[in-house]
Amino acid sequence: MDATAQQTMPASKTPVSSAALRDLKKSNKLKDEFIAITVHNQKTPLIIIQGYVDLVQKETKNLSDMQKHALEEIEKQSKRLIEINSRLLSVTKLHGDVIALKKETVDLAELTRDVAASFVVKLQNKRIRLVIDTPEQLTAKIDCEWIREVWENLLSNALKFTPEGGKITISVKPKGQTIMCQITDTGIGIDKQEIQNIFAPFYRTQDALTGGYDGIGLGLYIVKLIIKGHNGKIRIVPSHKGARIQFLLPKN
Amino acid sequence: MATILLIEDTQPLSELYSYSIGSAGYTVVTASSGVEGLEIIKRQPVDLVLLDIMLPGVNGLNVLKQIKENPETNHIPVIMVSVLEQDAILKQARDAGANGYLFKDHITPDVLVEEVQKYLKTDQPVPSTP
Ligand SMILES: Nc1ncnc2c1ncn2[C@@H]1O[C@H](COP(=O)(O)OP(=O)(O)OP(=O)(O)O)[C@@H](O)[C@H]1O
Ligand SMILES: [Mg+2]
Repeated sequence: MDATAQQTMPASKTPVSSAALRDLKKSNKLKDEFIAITVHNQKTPLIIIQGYVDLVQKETKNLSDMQKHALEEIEKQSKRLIEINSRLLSVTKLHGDVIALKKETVDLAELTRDVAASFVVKLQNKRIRLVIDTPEQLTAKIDCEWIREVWENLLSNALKFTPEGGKITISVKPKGQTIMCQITDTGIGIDKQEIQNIFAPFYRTQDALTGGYDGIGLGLYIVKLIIKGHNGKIRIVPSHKGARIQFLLPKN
Repeated sequence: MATILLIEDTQPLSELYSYSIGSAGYTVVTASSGVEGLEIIKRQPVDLVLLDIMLPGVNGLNVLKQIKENPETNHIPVIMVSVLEQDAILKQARDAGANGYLFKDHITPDVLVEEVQKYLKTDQPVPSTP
């Protein structure tokens, strides 16, 4: 269970008693339940806010620019809260002892192209070119909902950290008994010394923090948990320009 | 015009939904609990039910069952409304005879009215008795 691994354990060699470990697991589980319930309780209020903003936006004529802006901002910020909540919920689900992965034989090449297609408008708005390199078909035994979330997170990162006019390249290729997936962008990149921390929850690089990019730093943590749940591997490939992330998934 | 019964305990949502459906020209009757909703169905003709799943007292699934097990009311289309996206609950609702299913975070006035129209067309060829 990754939640316990996140706790900073003393570096001594003394074995942790099984009772202590059990307590730790229990309190981690409680913490996750706490988050899940809190997220759930925020859902209805957020839905109500969005519903009423939508109503006012549609029905009020002659709004001043500032009033329009105010409504847009309320809408945007409540969407952002919903997004944050859905990430927190993903984390609590992935922390479970037995991650409920529904593995099926899926065409990973098609799934990848499918997710990429859902980013077309956002990419166009930033004039970013997307190159996809996949075979016609490449099946793997995966949970397609979670792997979709992996691609969505990686693509939204690439989109976010790549300036206008840049390029994103995605490839999916067979490699022995595994499938090698890779995403490369021409964005701000990830410094070598940041690589070791980047998959930790809430971690964001100096460049991301000072550059004023949105985010809470849960995307890559979620991605890592999902890949781990699939017995796969993920790594950041050090590169001079832009970021490159690779992950391997077993075919079966 | 058709009468829609909306059973929803969250007041602001109930107001919002009835406003949207009302604006489209339907008559809306609201209930804030399952028991109240079932009483309304007994009392007056209803052409469609919008039914929240999580209700105080008798929950939405039970209300659904009571509507669908009663030969006098089982022809009424019921659309379930929920904040939860849980496969298990969805399946239970389908098994109990729910006609449609809407998630609250996907509901906009247009979506709501469209869904209502869909089931009134297919299941309601004859106008209900005045
Ligand atoms: N493609 C990339 N280029 C440059 N830096 C990146 C890239 N992807 C991730 N990072 C760095 O890794 C950090 C963690 O990424 P992660 O996706 O977990 O968080 P986030 O995007 O900031 O927030 P969230 O995904 O939760 O909205 C980012 O804040 C950024 O510093
Ligand atoms: Mg991210």
